[in-house]
Amino acid sequence: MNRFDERIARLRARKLAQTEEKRKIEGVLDEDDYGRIVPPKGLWEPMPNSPDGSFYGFKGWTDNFCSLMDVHPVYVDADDAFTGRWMYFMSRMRKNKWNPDYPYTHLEKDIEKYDIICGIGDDAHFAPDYKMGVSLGWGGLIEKIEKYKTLNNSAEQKEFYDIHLRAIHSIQGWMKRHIEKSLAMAAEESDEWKRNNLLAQAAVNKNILNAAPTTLREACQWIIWYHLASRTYNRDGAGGQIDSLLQPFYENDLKNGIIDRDTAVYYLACFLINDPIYWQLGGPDRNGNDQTSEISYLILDAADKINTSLNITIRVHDGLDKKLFDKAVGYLVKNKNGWPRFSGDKALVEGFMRNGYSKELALERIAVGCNWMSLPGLEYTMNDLVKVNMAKVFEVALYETRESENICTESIWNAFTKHLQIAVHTAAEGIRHHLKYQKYNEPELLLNLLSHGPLEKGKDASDGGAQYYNLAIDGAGLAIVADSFAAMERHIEEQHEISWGELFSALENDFTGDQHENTRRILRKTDRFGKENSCGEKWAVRIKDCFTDIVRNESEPGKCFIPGFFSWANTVGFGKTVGATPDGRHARKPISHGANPSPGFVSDGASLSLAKAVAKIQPGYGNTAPMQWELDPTFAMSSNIEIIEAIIKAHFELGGTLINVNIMDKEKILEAHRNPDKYPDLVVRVTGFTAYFSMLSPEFRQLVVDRLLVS
Amino acid sequence: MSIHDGPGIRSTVFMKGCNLRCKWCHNPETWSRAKQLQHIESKCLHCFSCISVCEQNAISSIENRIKINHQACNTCGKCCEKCPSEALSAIGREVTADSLTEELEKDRVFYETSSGGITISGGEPFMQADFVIELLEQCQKEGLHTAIETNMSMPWESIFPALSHTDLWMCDLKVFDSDKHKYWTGAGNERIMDNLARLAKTGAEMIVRTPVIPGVNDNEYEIKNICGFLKKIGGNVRYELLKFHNLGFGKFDNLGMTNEMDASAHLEDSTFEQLNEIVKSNYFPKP
Repeated sequence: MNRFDERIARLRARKLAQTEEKRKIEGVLDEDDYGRIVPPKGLWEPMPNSPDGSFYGFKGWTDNFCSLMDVHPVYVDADDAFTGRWMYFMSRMRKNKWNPDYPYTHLEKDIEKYDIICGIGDDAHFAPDYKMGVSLGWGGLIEKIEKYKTLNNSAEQKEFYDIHLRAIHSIQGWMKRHIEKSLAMAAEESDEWKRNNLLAQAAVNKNILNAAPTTLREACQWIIWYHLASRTYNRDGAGGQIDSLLQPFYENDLKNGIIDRDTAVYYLACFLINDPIYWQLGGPDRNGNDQTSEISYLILDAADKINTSLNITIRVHDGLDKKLFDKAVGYLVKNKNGWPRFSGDKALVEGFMRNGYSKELALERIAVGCNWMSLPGLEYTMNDLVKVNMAKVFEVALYETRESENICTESIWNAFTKHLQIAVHTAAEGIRHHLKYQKYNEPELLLNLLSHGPLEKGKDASDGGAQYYNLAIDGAGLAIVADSFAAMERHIEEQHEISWGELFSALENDFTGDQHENTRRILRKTDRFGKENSCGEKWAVRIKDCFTDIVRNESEPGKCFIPGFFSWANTVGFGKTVGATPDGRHARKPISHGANPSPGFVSDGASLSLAKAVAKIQPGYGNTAPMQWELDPTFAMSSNIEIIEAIIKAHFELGGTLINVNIMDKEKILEAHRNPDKYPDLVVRVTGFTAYFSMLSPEFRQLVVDRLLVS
Repeated sequence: MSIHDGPGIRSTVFMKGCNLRCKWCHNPETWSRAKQLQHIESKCLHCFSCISVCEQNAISSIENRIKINHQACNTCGKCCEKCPSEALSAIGREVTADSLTEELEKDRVFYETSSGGITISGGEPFMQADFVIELLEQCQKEGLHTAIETNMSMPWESIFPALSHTDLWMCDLKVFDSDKHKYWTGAGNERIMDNLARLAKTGAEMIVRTPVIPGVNDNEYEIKNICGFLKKIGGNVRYELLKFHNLGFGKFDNLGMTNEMDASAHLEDSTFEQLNEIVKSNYFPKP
């Protein structure tokens, strides 16, 4: 125990109480925790600027954001090193997501037909350059805007610069109210430590109101203000290379004798509990040198102290500091709370370079989102926003081929590739439409500030302001489709155990009744994707190659389309649109998770088979196809750290890109499923994000339980 | 693949055929050299589709359960293919050293990242000594770390040629008293102890293991005496106790075999810990 531990424990308890309050008042949420707390009732409502009751465009968004900032409650906690919490999902409070003046009716039919999450009107999901933020501060950003305002002076650009200035001023107003609150609380505080802390909070905020931060505490607080504002604006949760970002401040504080190790850990714990942002630790810099420093360890120690929902990624590469890796895996098995996770430098860098980028640039593309990598401040990506439900595409192809006289797996495959092409093209057209009109819908008011280009050019990041457009399209349901093809090939064409008629009859009846259940049993008895050299694996690789080519072929000058496999939390929703499938999946049940094989793909050695299987279906262009690893708690012990590290390294050596790990005790998770109130602090890594188990819907909790029990 | 058969992540090759009949064996499927049909009752759907495809009439149904005549079964595998729930499966396959090396090689990345390798286990590997030596030699040529798990009861002439191709020897000495050894395993331990002493003299890296079985060797006398023997033979030897479990006992039923050991036998953790303490104070392995 050190002098801060009690305070950290109180902060952690308050965080749990806030989560519980959120669940009770707002209900369940199948998403990230976000660090958001419940806003007071009736304080702020959006101001529409459109007849449809929503708000759009530069003025609509800025008016709403600034009006919210003007009244946003302050949040000061005498135990906390930092002030501020976010409360309003502003982007979700509008009536509609897309400005009706820019319709996409030409795409709607196929979007529905193939169950595409098209991303039109979606926001953020690219990374700000926090380094720029902490070196300029709000004052520096204002100066930058003023400078470029004189150079780019069309009417639209004048408005563009003005709205960004208004946004900064409103954030500064919010900060000022926190300063006042800290001082007011200090005047009433009898505890000396707390009073001094409140005064320090006020001093820190005064120092960074305009000027750039100069200490570790100021740098953390500045980052917090930016991300609280950006979260409020459009849920932006992208992080950055947090260790190298904070390292100069920490070292400077040490040099000046104003910090010790315990204080630094306390600051970092307060920083991490503020919001489960996606931060990366370790990994190579632009020159290939590992970025681990003392503060990398302190960040992990701070994370261990709060041990809440966290999204820290360790970048694994040949030069990774072994002690950092050991510590990271050590905390993973000790806390069993789904953090940290791991990204694979080799395949990510080599893959991104295949798009024609330099190695130096590829090394800067880091893990800052749920499943995604981004070049901080340099690219616009639509990461994790555009998804094609391949299980639905398969279903369309299957039923279209049904009437053909020569139905066979190859004819279904031909139909599948034809429809996949249309589906991906529809998704790409959706992205193009989005890029054309998003500024009139929802400009990136906050992310523009920390990007290299929007302010310089006077253009929104979605509208040519960014330097690169690396646009993500993810496929979902890979295992369902692969196993379906494998089952049909094996049991209808090779073994003649069932006929096409029997298959369709069983699918239409959702395998109910003895006869159809028997058909299902036969179909299930297929060597599925996940088992090495299986029929399922053969089809999975074929689908991967096909999807990758189709996505890549959408690229054009200035727009690089990058494929990945990821379903986020959409496995349940995607499953609801798809009937029974030939892999034996029942109608409306969730589709397979991300790039993973369907649960139960092998009877033993699942971890190693999983590591090999997911590595084989990597599209290979720098976006991820994450391995979701449900690690048995009887194996995940400190004595097996070396083995766990070996599996992580082997997956990345084989071409893997990202590993999300869950270690859950089966009895505990079952009990928590029955009675969520009993384990309010149980955190699970649902997918790329972690969440409090009690916050998930019963349906989603069931999905997590099923995944765990079968694996 | 396994993390329990030597250092790091390993591929373990289980050789069929064993010359001992340990009553606590948890791998009875490795006793016979022949391919065997296994039926797991808990997986069986009782659809009886296996009966219709069996050309040997080796499968019948009695009181709604499958009954297999293992003597009549020629392990053609047709019933396994037909079985919709994988309740029926064939144990064992014939392979060449070339094809097996190729198969093992595929997991090289796991061996490399974990300082693991391949382990040949059984059964008793030296029942198929020529094959085992060929396999070890090939794996070693491929740069893979090689280990062998053996009961050391085969003639030294069978074992000796493996010496230069094996990086780690994991050898069992199950019971110190030879008569008792014979009662529980079907053979005395004189040759085993002789082979252990010879192997130790070569300086080979060895781990001698004793599976601690309740009612058999879970006592100070046995463990102290084995420690004494190991001290005497010297060499590059570590000593480990393995804790008894009965997880493999269900396999006897699955294979139509009889298990002589009491299925409810249980080794207390405290007993196992005490015996480990005896090892610590009576035997000092090389660091």
